[in-house]
Amino acid sequence: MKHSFIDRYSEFGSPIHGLDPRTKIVCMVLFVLAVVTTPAGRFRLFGLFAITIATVIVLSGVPVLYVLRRSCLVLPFVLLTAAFLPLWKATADGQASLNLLGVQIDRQGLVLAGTMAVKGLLAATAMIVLSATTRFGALLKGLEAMRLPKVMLMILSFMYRYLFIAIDQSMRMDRARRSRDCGSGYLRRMRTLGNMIGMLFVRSYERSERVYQSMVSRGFDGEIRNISRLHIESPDYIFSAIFITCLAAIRVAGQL
Amino acid sequence: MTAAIDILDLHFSYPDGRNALRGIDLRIEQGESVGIIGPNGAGKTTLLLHLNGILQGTGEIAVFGLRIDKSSLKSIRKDVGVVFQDPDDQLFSSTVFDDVAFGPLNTGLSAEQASARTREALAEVGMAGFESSVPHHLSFGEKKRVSIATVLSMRPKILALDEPSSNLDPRQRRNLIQLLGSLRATKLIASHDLPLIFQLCDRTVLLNSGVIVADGTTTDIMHDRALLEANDLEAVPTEFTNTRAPQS
Ligand SMILES: Nc1ncnc2c1ncn2[C@@H]1O[C@H](COP(=O)(O)OP(=O)(O)O)[C@@H](O)[C@H]1O
Ligand SMILES: [Mg+2]
Repeated sequence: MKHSFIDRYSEFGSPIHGLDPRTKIVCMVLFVLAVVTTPAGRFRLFGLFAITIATVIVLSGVPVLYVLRRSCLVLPFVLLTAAFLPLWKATADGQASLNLLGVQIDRQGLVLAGTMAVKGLLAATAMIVLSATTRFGALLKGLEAMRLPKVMLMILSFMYRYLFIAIDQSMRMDRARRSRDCGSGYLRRMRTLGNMIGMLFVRSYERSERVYQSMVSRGFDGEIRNISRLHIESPDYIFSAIFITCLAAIRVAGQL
Repeated sequence: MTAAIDILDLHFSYPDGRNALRGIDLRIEQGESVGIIGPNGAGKTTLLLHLNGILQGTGEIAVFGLRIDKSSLKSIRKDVGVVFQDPDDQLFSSTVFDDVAFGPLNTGLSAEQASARTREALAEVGMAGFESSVPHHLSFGEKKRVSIATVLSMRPKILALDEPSSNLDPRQRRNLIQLLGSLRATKLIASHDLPLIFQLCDRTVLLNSGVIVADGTTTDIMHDRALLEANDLEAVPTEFTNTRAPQS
């Protein structure tokens, strides 16, 4: 079964896709930092940040709608937190107090809530751009080159590799269940679901044993060895220079 | 000449008490291609997993005269390449390149040497250019080829393949048979795909319930309809077996 929804666009050949993963990791993390540290209410600056990231999206050829849909997924979480902000009001001594019967909604709180939503959206967008333009394997290689612990990366790598197989397996099991299910009740369905999850667990456990055997067959001794095939080239320097200059310019403009 | 593999009175039971191998004696000469046939549950996979010490039963196994034990394990794993039945067990990395380079790197080769081996092995199985692909974006036949490459990159002297043709469509299967025929190592192929064994192996070992029931030339065994049927295997139609291409 095909389920390419997770890493659908990471195989494109755009200039952004061609960048070294480290370039993209650093640029996107800087972007998030720049956005997050921008004072509340500076919506014009946030607009400029949005234009910057939108330009990158357009250059990458990933459909803008795809990115937007994905980044909107964070909105409920951000908004849930933000929703309470208008109920808070900063008091003179800097302490916040809650207007429990919040009829008097604070304007400052509203601005804060809006800022939070925008920041969340922009940060999520940056991360989605990163993952949509970088193969997962390359992303891990980039993180490895940036000295993240190998065991952690190995776990991520296995997760990515076998997630698809687990999805596949559960899709097949579900199809087999549905093809025999002639309108059973809620309780029964829940029980079958429980069995399916159990099966999935057992199968994954058995698979892990075979995977380990196949690794040991090829001389695995607990040490993780990898070849890094990453190269920082001139497009990387050009892209980071332009991108970081944009971020800096926006922040400086904000000081004026 | 020392045998490629020499197995003496091998017994093995799984932790749950299942007697999977019950006294295997098998000697395989260098350069031979041996088919291991038998119904499901005969013990084929279990036997293959003994060849590089993944499973360790009682009895003796020597690879090129070297007994398998703790001290020889590392060098034996370099010599015996086991290709697992399910390519999803074999391919665990996030890119094809990493998977094929995994073995060579573990044997202590430098990054350059391992990269060269990787490219070579991928070219050998016809998968050059797929270095950066993710395994789950490959077709089953492609995954199978890459699985074989993950072992070829270690330049094993013995290749042990478990059900290499399972789940392949006819064209992929034909390509695979061609590929396996072109590889020059000593080969052990466990399969119940008898036509495949017929095309690739001069000698066939018939396994059932953990014992060797028959061991002889492939032609003799494949023509013994009574023997095959007594062991829950389906005889190959004769028009197939008469047109067998000569093996070098
Ligand atoms: N991990 C295991 N645990 C317990 N029993 C097993 C395990 N793997 C295989 N067996 C049993 O050992 C016997 C031989 O299995 P196997 O070597 O997989 O046969 P084949 O590959 O010829 O189909 C079978 O009866 C099987 O049920
Ligand atoms: Mg088997």
